[in-house]
Amino acid sequence: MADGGFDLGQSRREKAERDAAARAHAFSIPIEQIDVANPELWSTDTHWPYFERLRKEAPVHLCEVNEEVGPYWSVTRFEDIMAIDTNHQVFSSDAHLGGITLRDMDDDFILPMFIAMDPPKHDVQRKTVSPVVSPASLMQLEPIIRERAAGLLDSLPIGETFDWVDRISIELTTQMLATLFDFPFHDRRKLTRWSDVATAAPGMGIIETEDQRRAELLECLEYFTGLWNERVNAPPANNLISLLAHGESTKNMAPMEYLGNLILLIVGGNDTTRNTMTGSVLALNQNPEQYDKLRANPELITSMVSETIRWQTPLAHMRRTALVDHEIGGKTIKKGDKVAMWYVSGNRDDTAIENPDAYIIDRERPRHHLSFGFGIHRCVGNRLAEMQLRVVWEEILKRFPTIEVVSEPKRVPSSFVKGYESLMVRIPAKNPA
Amino acid sequence: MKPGDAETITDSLEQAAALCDDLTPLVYARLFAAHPQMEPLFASDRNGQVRGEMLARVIEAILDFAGERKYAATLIQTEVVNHAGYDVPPAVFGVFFGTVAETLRALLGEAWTADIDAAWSRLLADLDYYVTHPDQAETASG
Repeated sequence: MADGGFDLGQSRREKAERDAAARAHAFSIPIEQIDVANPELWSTDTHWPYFERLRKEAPVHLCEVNEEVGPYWSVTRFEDIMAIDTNHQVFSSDAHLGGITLRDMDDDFILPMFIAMDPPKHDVQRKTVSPVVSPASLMQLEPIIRERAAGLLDSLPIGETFDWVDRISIELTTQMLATLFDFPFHDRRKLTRWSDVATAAPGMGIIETEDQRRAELLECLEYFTGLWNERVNAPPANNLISLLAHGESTKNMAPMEYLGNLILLIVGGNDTTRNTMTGSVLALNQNPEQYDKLRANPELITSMVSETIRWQTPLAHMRRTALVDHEIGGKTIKKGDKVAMWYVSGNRDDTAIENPDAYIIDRERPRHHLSFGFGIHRCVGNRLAEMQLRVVWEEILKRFPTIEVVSEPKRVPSSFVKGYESLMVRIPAKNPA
Repeated sequence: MKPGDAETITDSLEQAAALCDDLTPLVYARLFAAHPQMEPLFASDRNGQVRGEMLARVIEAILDFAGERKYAATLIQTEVVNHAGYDVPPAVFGVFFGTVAETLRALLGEAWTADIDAAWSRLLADLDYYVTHPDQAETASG
């Protein structure tokens, strides 16, 4: 029995059995019945063989068996995803057409946000918030991130089991988000909660009903409206609320559009980095020879970060809606159809990435991945995310020879946010002084 | 572009690859010598991976643009839009594509034939159309 009451060997054996069963199922069912949006595939980490089969046999695939989200196309190869992601004239992100997730927004609770807009409105709103992640801003943020990371890491227990997700990944990304918003620091965990509420499916653990989601998101709007009112009457400053309150294209936003953009920034700044931070610990534990390589050469941190972003793919897909009939991969996607671009699958496409299932921290092109998307919706905070992850690992390697994963992670049951609810770890010792 | 240009472009890139393992240092040295104002844009690229990946994407996009055109035209348009968000003007794209061509010309020397030169000229002109017309509403064919 490992420390903390977990039996890692047993949980790994169970996982191996689950993986084998999933593989047999994925390659034996009629291909029309493959439904990669099924949340259970994500909570059990068993989606991989289904994507492998789709890439080989039906890279542009229509699923008509998911009653929750309705019919949707899956695009699973790297180049096809690039083609759709960059073609906003044909493939819309508009919230009023359903937005960016397979589950449509409800007609009476549509949250417009710039990631769920098409040009020209998208372009000016995105440009409004861009300064907060400009190279100059990142230079100012780096010492703040480093100081906070160092403080948190120094507070970790040695020789005890704890949840890396809660103690480090959530806390660090939430602190960063609070800084970007200039959000009251003592209330920062509200950001975590709103992020989780925004992306969770009802009945899967975070929220019970859609009504609960709406109520909590309206609390978020009320809280942020107070901050907006403070900032709009103050001189412009380089924080996200002030930029929105003073931006020409955003200063007259309706409340639901303000809420939509807040949710975008909260989820974009929180979930993705949080889950990659957790994923890095998991990946290095699953690939101990890579962990050795990193310890021996900390210069590899930058490429390890990129490799982890590919390996983790913290947003598994983005959805688009076809505005006209369009042919791709020998299939005709009809006007109005939902299309899921599965970044998580494109990142394992061996026609685009060599040996894609392997985690290799010094691979030749670690930045060659789809995790940030392509096109006009490419992640606006990608350099900030990379910087946070780099700084955290620079500080980890200074302190600890290893961080041991002591049980299989608990994964988020979502085909959108590919992440972790918990990851129990133990730090056996500090580096010698 | 004319029929046969795709093969000529591909051939020139293959010849360059045979002469040089990695074009990255050559391209960026030429770029920064001619346009020193562009060097600070890569200041945070400590290990050269950003520069390397950007060049790799450009070459892949050129090959796609010269060939099947599955994504290159729309990728270029959206990159122009994204870079405008960071106050990087569209002209930078023409400069970068041109620098790639100039680097190949220097590398190939006498192997840079008139046919290659003409194919690259046509390619650069066609690429420039998408750089200067990033609004997909203007260029969409359905």
